[in-house]
Amino acid sequence: MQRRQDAPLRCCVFLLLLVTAVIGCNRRRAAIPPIQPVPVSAPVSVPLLPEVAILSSDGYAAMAAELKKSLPREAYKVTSVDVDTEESRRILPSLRERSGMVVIAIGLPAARVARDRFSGPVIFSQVFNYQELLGSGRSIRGVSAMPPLDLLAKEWKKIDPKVRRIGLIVARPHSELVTQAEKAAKAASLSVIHEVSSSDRETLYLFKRMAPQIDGLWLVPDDQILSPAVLRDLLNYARSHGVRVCVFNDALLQWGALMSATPTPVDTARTLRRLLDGMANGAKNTPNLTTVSELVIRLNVDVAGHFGMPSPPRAAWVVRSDR
Amino acid sequence: MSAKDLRLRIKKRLFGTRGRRSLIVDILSVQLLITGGITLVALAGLTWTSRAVVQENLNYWAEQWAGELNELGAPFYLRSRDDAVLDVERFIQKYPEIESVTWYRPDGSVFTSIDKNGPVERPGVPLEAGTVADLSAKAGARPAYLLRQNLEGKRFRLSGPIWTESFSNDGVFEMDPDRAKTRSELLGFVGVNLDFSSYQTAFLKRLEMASLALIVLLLTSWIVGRALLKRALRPLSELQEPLSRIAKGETDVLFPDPRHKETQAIVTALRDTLLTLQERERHLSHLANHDSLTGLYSRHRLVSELDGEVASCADSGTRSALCFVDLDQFKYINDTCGHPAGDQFLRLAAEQLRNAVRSNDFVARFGGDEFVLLLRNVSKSQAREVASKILTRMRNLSHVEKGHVFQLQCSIGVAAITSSRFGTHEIIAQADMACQTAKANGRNRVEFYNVSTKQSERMVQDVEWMHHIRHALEHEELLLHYQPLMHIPTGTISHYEALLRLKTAEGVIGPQTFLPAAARFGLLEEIDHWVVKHSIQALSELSGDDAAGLRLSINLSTLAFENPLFGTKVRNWLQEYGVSGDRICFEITEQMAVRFAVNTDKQITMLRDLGCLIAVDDFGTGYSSFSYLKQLPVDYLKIDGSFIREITRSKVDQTMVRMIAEVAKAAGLQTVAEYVESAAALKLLAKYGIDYAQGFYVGRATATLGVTKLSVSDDAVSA
Repeated sequence: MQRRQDAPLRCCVFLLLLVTAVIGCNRRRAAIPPIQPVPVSAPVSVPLLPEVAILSSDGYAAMAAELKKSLPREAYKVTSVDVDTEESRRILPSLRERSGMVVIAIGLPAARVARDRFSGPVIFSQVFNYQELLGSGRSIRGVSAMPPLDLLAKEWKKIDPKVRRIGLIVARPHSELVTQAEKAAKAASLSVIHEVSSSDRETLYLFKRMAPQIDGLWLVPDDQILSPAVLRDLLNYARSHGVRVCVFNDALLQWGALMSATPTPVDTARTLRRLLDGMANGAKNTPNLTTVSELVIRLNVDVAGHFGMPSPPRAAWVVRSDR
Repeated sequence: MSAKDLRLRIKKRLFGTRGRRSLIVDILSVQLLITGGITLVALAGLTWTSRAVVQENLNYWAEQWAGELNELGAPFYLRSRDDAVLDVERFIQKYPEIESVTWYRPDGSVFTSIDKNGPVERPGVPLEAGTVADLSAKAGARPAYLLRQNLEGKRFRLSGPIWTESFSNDGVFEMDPDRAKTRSELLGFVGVNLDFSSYQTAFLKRLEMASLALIVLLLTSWIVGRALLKRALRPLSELQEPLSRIAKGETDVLFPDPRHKETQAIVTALRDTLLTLQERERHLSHLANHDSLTGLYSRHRLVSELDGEVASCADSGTRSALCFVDLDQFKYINDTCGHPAGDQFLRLAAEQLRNAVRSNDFVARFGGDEFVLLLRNVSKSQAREVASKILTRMRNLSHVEKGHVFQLQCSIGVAAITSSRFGTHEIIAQADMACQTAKANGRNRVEFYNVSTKQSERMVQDVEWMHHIRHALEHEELLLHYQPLMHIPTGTISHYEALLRLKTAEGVIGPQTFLPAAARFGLLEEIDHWVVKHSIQALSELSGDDAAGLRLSINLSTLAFENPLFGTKVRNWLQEYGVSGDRICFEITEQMAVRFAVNTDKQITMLRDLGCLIAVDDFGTGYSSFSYLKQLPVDYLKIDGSFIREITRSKVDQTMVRMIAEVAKAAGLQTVAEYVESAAALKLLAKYGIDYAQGFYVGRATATLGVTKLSVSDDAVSA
């Protein structure tokens, strides 16, 4: 009689141990610690918009897929279109006819298509030069392609205590980015020296003159004032002149950057959904550009060693905002 | 100064006046050549290297400027900034080789230009269309493209496009930067004028200094090397003076002590050679001054000794005596016992004479069986005493030869030496005459010279002949006449005999007149040498068909081979005149031939080795037996004329001639008949197999060699 009563308990314990073992194995297998989503407040239950079109351009398929995954089927009717394919010519006209459709555009080409061909609300992401998308009076909002600068500044200071002055070179339309950077830097006991550039040559020119005054450079992903050649020259010059560079693309680490800071696709997708939900609920005063809340820091250990930085416990980690 | 004079002067300076090369100059010349060659190669290498360095430098700077295009293009992409050009100005100040920088718009027109002094008011010439097209096409190229254009002098222009580039896509945070698409915008061109002339001038100046230093080093090394080499070769140059003296014939030469092992071997060899030369000189001197058979002084030495004694007596007023010793009947002993016995007698006699005199007296062999003693500082009685002692010693001397006992006796003539009134040869002649008197008075006695009228006249005559012969020898007044010999079987003239003549005021005379005086006064050797030399010379001057194979016979006196250098002299004359030895035939007496048959004479051997032939003159009148014919080192037998003159009438002469001919033929000798004066005689000689004929019938002696035409008819010679 006692044995019969203990059997269910044993099964539960066994199952619990099994689940724990599986979870533990998964944790150990990952090279990069799995990103544990931060529990957020449950979305407000809003009436589901009938359709969502996810427009993406070349190179953003992964982000599109992540976004689509974050939108439940029972809540949204999602259609994904790559605007650079031939198929989009057939699909886009039919999508335009549907009323109430919300377009989520990933990448500037997709955002332009959304702006030009759709009349409904548009949410964009992965667009740095977003200024042309705004100011049209339409309901166009976006998720910043930049990582949260306050998190970045604090993390940089944490891993590189010697850094004090950060350089920043932006094109003229991104002047408010300077303000954000200065604010974020100040919170991390850093100062920002900035220059406005209009071409890649000028960017390099300005950087060489700025280099003696700074410890680090915040390289922003502005395609208009950067080129592959200038990136190489700049990173080489920075390394030889003791300037640590924080870049926006992991691929630039092998060119000599100290670290990269990029938003996570999951967090970007989450932020996009939040904006989508807000639109659906008729939220007002949504900022034009919403910042994501976490970023991934990846460190070039060789460059760190070149600069005499202490070795961090890991080469990549996620930093999350407390918001 | 002409070029030729300059060359001669340099040559004289380098090689000296005698035209001989200097070892030091040769070594230094080689050093100079090698060093000069190395210097030239070094200079060429420097020049080539400098050019290559300059070129590489230019290429390096071109690459540097390519990297600086970003800085140089600032005025284009920093138009909003006023200090962009200033920055470039400050930039180019750091590089002295930058002459100017010009910016061009995309169409090639000048945008602005600066040089070291700032902006240039006159901007300059626009870019050529071709250059614009070329540079435009290279906009965006990696590595940055630079067009190099050569300007005048050492100036260059480097031109490159200035462009901006940007990513084609906004999403740079997602892209692979190596494969991302970009777009370019050409802003214009920049041209940098570079002037490396000052750089190259400075470089070339340094190169010139280096070259000059090299040349100075070269000259210094040559000068120092010359001094060092001269010093190092001093051990060799110190040998030059003693070697020169040895070349001149001096043997009292001293060599410096060698300081190096290389010269030690040389100096040792030279010293050994010098010792050998000195020994040889002593030996030759000994040969010249001594008689090889007896060891006594030679006639040559006697004359010089007597000259000194005559002068000494004249100066000091002392009295000396000259004794002329002639062995009695020596010829008989020589002919009877043979020449080896005769030589032994001579040696015994010489020993006796040496032992009979004092150490400071002088004993010489005058010739043959004649000896001369110089008794210094003696009175007449003392001289007689010595002479008597000699006679006694000789009488007591006996020699056993072939079972016979021979006594050696002599006759002695003594002449006093009191002053320089009479010369050496006259005193000798006086002593000789006294000796002749002693012989005439019975031999084995001493006679003092008393001047009798006849003797005095004879002596005066002999002395006159002596002077005449000397004069003739010095002034080429001796003559040679040539008498032909006919080859009887062929009837051709292939042979001549050289006959000595003396030119006098009374005409040309034969040797029988003056040769006795020559023999008395020791001139025979000179006459022999004169005859041999001029005979060879006459042969050398003969040319044409007549010269081919023509042979010349030369008579030699018995004294000819007394001089050990006679054979060498003959060899030298043959070489000097280019005459083959087989064209010379020396005629010697039968006595000489027999003597050489017994004692192998080096000089006869030497003459035969030269190819010369030997003929026995007046064969048949000596006492030698026919057995010597087998051993005679001769080629011809000249049958004495006494057997030929009466050959047509005398059976004895015919038999003798026939016998001589047969024996000679059997011995492998050829025969010559002298005094052939008729056709009948010639015919008989042909019949007996005589090879050659000589005489008035064949031809008389003439003054010119080789002109005789045979006048004998063929019938005369047919047997």
